[in-house]
Amino acid sequence: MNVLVTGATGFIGLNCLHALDGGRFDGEPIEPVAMVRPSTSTARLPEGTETVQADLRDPDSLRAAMVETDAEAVVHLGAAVYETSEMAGTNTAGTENLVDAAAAADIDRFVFVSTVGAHPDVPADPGSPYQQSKVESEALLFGQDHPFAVSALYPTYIFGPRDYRLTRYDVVRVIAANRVLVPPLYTHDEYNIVHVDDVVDSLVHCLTADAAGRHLVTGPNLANGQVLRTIARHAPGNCTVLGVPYAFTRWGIKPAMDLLHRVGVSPVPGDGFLERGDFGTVAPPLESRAPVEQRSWERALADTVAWYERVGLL
Amino acid sequence: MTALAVGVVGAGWMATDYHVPAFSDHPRTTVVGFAERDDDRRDAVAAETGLPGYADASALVRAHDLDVVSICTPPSTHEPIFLEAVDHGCHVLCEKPLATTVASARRMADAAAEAGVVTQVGYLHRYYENYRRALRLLDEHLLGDIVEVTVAHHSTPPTQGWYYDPTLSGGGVARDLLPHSLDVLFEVFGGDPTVTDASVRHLRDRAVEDAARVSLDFDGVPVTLSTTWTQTEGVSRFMVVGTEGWLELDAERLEGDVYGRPFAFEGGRLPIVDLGIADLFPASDEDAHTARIHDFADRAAADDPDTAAPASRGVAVAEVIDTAYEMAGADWNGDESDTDGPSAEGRQ
Repeated sequence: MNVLVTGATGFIGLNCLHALDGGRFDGEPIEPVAMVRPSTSTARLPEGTETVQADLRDPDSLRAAMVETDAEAVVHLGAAVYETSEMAGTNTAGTENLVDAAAAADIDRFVFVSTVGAHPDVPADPGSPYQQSKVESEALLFGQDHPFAVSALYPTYIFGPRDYRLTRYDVVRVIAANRVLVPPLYTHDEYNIVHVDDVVDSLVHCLTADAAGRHLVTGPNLANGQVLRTIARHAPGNCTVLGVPYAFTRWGIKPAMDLLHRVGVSPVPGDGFLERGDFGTVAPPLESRAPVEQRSWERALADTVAWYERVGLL
Repeated sequence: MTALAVGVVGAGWMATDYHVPAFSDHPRTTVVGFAERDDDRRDAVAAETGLPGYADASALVRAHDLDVVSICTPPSTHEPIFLEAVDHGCHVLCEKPLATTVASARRMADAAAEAGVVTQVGYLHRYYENYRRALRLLDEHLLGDIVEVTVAHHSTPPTQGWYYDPTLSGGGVARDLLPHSLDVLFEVFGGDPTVTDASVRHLRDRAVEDAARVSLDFDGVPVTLSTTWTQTEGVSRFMVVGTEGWLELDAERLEGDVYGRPFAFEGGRLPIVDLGIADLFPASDEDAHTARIHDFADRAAADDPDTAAPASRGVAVAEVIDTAYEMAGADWNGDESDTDGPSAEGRQ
């Protein structure tokens, strides 16, 4: 099966292509073709990966790419995740362009990777332009009469190797760089973590099984301490994560940092210690859902740490 | 298992502070003797180390059944010592620069290849933990595509007189200091660079240049190196800019940023405390000289010619420096001409 992969050089794309290159999957052979922009570096792709040049913002290039690769399926991972100004053109209009090109090429399957906040059962964050762009893409894929089957995946907070944007590095490094965990880590963050390989396996499942429709890819909801202690078990440095009561943070650390800020020792006040972070949590009935057998969240963290260490960042 | 017998040629500080102790400490090598031309120095080192000293390399090679020759003499003497060692089937660790000209370096590399011996040129930078880490980061494409590299290596003036005699040294600061960084650049990029610009200056009225600038093109990536011999306190920095981040390092500190995520290491290690507003790194007892000598000893003991910087690397380095001197109008094998004039551009 010839599969055109957008976003091939991103986090999920690279893991997908390396997994396909590594022969992890049985069944019908999948022949991926990485769709890349002319300016994109292909140095991180597996050696020998077939590529085709096209741009989500250029409909003609997409139609040409479909023909050139004789695509039978599309895996759509390409998106502007951080550049707000590019989200409308790349995420929403780009998806529409790709859907049109896929229909013209008469492909069989279209697999779209969205985000958990764009799933109809999960409340979207109105303050997230990225989530909003993915919600808008929903309308282009579902409730329409396409000549191909549509599957969509909704992963939560993804961990794993090949995180070349270092999106998870901060939380790992701060543990590896302290023998005892220190503020501002004693905040009330919550996580829902999935392994990037579970997303990849789900993608392949959607390509090879009768799996049209929406699929959550979620893990269990986790407290900050669980995540940090697990990272500490795998990261270099033997960091000890202390459980500091929230009240101590609220009435001890924050005022102390405020004081240090006032006298010019700390560049920031203590407000950050009271912020609560939510990284992909879902309602309890939606926890630990995926169309494939999942790896543990602990393994997701361990594999992330191992990759940062292997490439020289820890 | 029998230890390899090592003969050290030259008994200056590099030999006595690093080569003799490092080969003596290594479980697979033992130092059996040394050669030193200066009588007083030879007697002093013999008394200090208890090793037999000889007046020249030939006497050392004749007196012992050597497996390894370690060369710590001025550059102009490297070729005959190297060739004699190779002729006796010895593995050779040679201090940089390998030779005073690329033709000499090529004769040495060819002889070593024909004899099948293990060779290494004594480039240092890659053995600092920060450089090892930076090379890993770059090998993993963490910065994206490399956009440019800037190298600044500025040092105190050498105290030994031979550095200022071009017939002994093969040139000035460029021949002396740039090999360390060029070795790292070859490791990062591979391939053959084009020398696009070069100039030399004489800031302290020396017979050889004490300031030099060289611009290279590694397959489209511009690299600039500058070096001087005029400092009271030296500095050697390496900065790499990529499409997705940057890093800058010296032997003490490595720092950088990828997509807005900063990282920092000292002596190749993370902090033990990082409070955000202040950090504390573990104390470092790093010894890169011993690390490189031990690495060579490991390879020699394994009869593995694939060392970090074999003699062929010395040829590649000498090609760049010879070309740079030629472009700058500094011919250290003949007359120097117009070294302060405008530099030529675009020559291979």
